[in-house]
Amino acid sequence: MALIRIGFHSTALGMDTACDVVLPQLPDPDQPARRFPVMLLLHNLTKSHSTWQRMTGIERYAATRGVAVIMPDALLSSYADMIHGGSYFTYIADELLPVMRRFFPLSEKREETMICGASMGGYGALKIGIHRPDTFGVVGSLSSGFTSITTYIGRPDDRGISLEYLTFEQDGLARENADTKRRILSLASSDGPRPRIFMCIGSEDKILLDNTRESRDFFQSIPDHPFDFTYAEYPGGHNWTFWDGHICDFLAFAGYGAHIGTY
Amino acid sequence: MALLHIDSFSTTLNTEMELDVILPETRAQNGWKTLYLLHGMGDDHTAWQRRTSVERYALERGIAVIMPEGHMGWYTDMALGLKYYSYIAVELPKIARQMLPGLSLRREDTWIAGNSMGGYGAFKCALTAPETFSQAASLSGALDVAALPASSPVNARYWRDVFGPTEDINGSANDIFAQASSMRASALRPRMYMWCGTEDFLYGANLRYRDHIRALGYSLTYEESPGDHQWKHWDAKLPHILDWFMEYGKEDE
Repeated sequence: MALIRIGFHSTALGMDTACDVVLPQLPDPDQPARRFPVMLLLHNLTKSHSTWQRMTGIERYAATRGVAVIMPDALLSSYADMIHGGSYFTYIADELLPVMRRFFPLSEKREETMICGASMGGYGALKIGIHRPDTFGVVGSLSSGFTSITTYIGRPDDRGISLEYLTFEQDGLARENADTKRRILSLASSDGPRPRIFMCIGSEDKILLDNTRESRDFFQSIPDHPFDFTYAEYPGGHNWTFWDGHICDFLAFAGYGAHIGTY
Repeated sequence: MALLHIDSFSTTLNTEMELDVILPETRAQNGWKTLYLLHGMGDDHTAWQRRTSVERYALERGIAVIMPEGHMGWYTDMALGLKYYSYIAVELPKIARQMLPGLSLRREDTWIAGNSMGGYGAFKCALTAPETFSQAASLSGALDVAALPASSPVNARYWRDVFGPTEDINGSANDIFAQASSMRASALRPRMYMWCGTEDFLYGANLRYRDHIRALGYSLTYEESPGDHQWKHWDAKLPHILDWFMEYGKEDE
């Protein structure tokens, strides 16, 4: 397997940005090239593109399952097109994968294209997956629902400016949350593809347990249960021990449960 | 020579930030002379390495180079956004010296430079954090930020997010004309270097800044030559400004 740090210019962001990529390698260099299933893996608030690698065994989990992992940087953006800041939603939802597919042997099939993340990253993954059902076949969130809450991003700094204001201004977060709900309901009744959805959270999570259960209730209340939806609570809190322990549950849900190589 | 890719947490920004660092391999008696090298608008902390031979130039002179990430923040504490100025000018030197004890702690060994937006940032940091930086160099710097919003009115909201209302820029902490004026009598007045290409869209602003700080009596080395806003000029000038930085003190001997 290879770990690649790639820097490139994002048109959506208007600047260069860094992204870490875990790429499986075939055991025999003479084997015909193949395209790997791909997972976008999103970081949480106050972290960066390098954090999943540093805090978890993601390189080992993914590469041994033959899955490529793309870890972009989204700063403190809530994976939104910030009103005062970069267009991170557009960057990750629309620009990142086409760029990565130009550089690396990545599957173009939607059922082999996944997005997942933890906390703010889980929220971002659900939001982006729901808004881009033609791109993502499998969507996962560890320790967050599909709505964002103001508790953390709403805190004003010493100048009275909150991340929520920079990102959404007044009422924008509520509008975005409502928009995601509408989008889920319209997907539920559409004939188009629907992403498979995985959510899990620590039963001792003091930060987003209620928020995540609320999203579970929303999915479970949709008549006829059109989504392939899995929800689980496991012992644990809102931390990297939990996310390291359960990212493989998402990969298993996505169909990548077994090691295909030895590392 | 070592190249370090560092991801470290900034308390000021409350997030992880990347920086690349070039370090000499042999220790220097008083620590390594250190250049903070700032990128331009639309680039990131990797730009200097990718577009120039900065590592070779640093190796030839035995100095350390720290290349921080400044996003699109103009090295300001943004009116609506993150506090990039406080991160780069105040927090980063502390983080770097804590993490890399080979760096000199001395003001005379600590310098800052950049291109375009980074040239502005370098002058701003040197003028407003002179206890840390003794010398600053600007290559094709965007030095007259009050003129920027009018030059690109399409991005009106962006400029407001960075600098606040345009009419408030003059005289503010982001106005390096005003900062130079208020530092004019200070013993910590930085030594300055400027270069700009004569075909650069920022040439006029560079002339205005040159005249301003010359009139204030700053120690300024000003150079210009045919050229526009391009990396080939900045790469060509970089070894020259490193030599200029290393002259510090010699002229007083």
